[in-house]
Amino acid sequence: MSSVDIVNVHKSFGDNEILKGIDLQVRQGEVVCLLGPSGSGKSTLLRCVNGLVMPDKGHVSVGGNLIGRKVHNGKLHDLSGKEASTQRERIGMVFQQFNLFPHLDVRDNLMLGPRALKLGGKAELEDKARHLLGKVGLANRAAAYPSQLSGGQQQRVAIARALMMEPDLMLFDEPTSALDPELVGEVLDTMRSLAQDGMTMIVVTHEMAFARQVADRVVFMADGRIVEDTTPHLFFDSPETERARAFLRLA
Amino acid sequence: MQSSVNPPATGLERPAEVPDVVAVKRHYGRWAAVVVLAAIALGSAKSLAQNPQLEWGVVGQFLFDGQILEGLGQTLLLSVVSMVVASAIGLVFGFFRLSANPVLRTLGSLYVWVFRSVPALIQILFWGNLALFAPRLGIGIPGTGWSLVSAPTNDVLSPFAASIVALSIANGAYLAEIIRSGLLSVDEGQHLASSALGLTWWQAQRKVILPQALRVMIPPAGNQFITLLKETSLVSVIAGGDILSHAENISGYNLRTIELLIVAAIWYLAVTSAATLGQNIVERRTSRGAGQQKRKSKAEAARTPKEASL
Ligand SMILES: Nc1ncnc2c1ncn2[C@@H]1O[C@H](COP(=O)(O)OP(=O)(O)O)[C@@H](O)[C@H]1O
Ligand SMILES: [Mg+2]
Repeated sequence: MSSVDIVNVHKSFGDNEILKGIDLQVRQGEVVCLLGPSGSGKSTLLRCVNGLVMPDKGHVSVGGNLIGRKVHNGKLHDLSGKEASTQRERIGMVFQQFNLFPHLDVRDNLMLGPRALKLGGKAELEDKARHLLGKVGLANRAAAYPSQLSGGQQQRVAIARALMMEPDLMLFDEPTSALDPELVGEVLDTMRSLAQDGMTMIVVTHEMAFARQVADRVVFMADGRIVEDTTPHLFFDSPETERARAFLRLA
Repeated sequence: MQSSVNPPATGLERPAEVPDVVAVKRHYGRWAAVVVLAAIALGSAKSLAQNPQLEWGVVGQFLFDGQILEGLGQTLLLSVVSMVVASAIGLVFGFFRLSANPVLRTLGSLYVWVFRSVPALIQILFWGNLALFAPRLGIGIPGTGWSLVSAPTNDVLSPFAASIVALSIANGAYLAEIIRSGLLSVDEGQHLASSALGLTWWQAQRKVILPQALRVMIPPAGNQFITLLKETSLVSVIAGGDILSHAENISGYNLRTIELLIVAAIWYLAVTSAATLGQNIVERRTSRGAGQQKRKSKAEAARTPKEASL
């Protein structure tokens, strides 16, 4: 059973068709890197996976559960806000701009989600937060506010915040694109260790070296379609399409 | 010293001798203005103090009069209750205006449009005279004649209650706009991050969006409260029981109109000044929310070397 199943997903914003029929499966424990030029629909596709964006046609299921919708009388109906929120608990997402909560310190950034959703007692969650901050190498920054951290540190906090929810799946949307070059490595290292722990991951990235080393599969998108879906080895060394070759020449 | 800094000025024109001392600026214009203004102030004060039509003794006599103090209490009560109700209304309609639902959005815009456009005085007169066109108020099904409860309008809606209704609804429109722009000031990424964590809409608003929006909302909301404090005086037109209503009551029989207006004005001055002071303190406290982070980082920076040496 594949962990993520994307079937014939279409999405338009106004008259712009951004996703033009996407089919993609990601197995449990697999790391898939999603590559493609800017504007090709990678972020939109990623947001369809946790229901932040709802497809106009087609569907996404994660762990066998339809995301954001239910079938009734042969048609798809939207879930209630509460039901849709519950589905997102176990799908972590990391953003290009980190999106930490600026009014809360690091520890409270980590605690807010699990506290609101009553996933455990305070002491237990505090322990967990401490453990995860240690894991991302920020054990001593629990009391800092996001504005006091470097970009790389903020992104590692964002990863720890997502891990607090014990996700089965992690989505990364260009997690290192907003970082100064010297800070990219620390975030990629954190992601690499997450992959080694067996996390299922879909990673939108422009870090080709990371994709080559860590990805089990590379999916290349252009103009709202999947153009190549193959191993990193084949994609980087002998891309099949002219689009992919052009993309790699520029990268 | 000069020669050691500057290269020797060969063939360069320079004034023969330049003193080091810069003359102190003398603001003759300012002094002249102060003299003129002081003369005007003195003259006005003198004519006020010596005007035989104006008895300052009466002002002093009524400043702490029981009725006036009761009116002052009502003015404060009216302001605080109306502000609280207006904030609740503003929160609801602020969210309506940002809703994805076009019906709610339109409702929000209509509310703001109508109640910001119609002068507060007219709204107060309207609610105060509701009995003229709706003699009874109740809950029932219109057109059927069936009603669950019903009572004479004037029993339900005392002038004081009508004042609260009018001021709450009128100020709710302004607060809806303040709250809306506060909510809009919060970055889109905060909504995404909250949703991605599995928070419901309301959890996200309460724990993530509103705390950040509040910082932006506090200064204009404070101004709105101060405006409201003064606006409560309008309810004197329906004898709403505020300080001006009481002042007018008293001058109605002792005919000391100006003296009692001065009594009311002194109290408005005092109350508004206190509110302004309060607003400044609150603003400093909330902007310290951002400053707090800086202070904490200094504390941390001070601690770090110790930790490193351990
Ligand atoms: N919420 C939205 N409303 C309107 N247009 C959008 C929205 N989200 C994305 N788009 C548009 O969709 C296109 C693809 O966006 P995106 O999925 O972010 O691409 P990528 O992540 O590959 O750069 C862009 O042109 C963008 O402007
Ligand atoms: Mg993108």
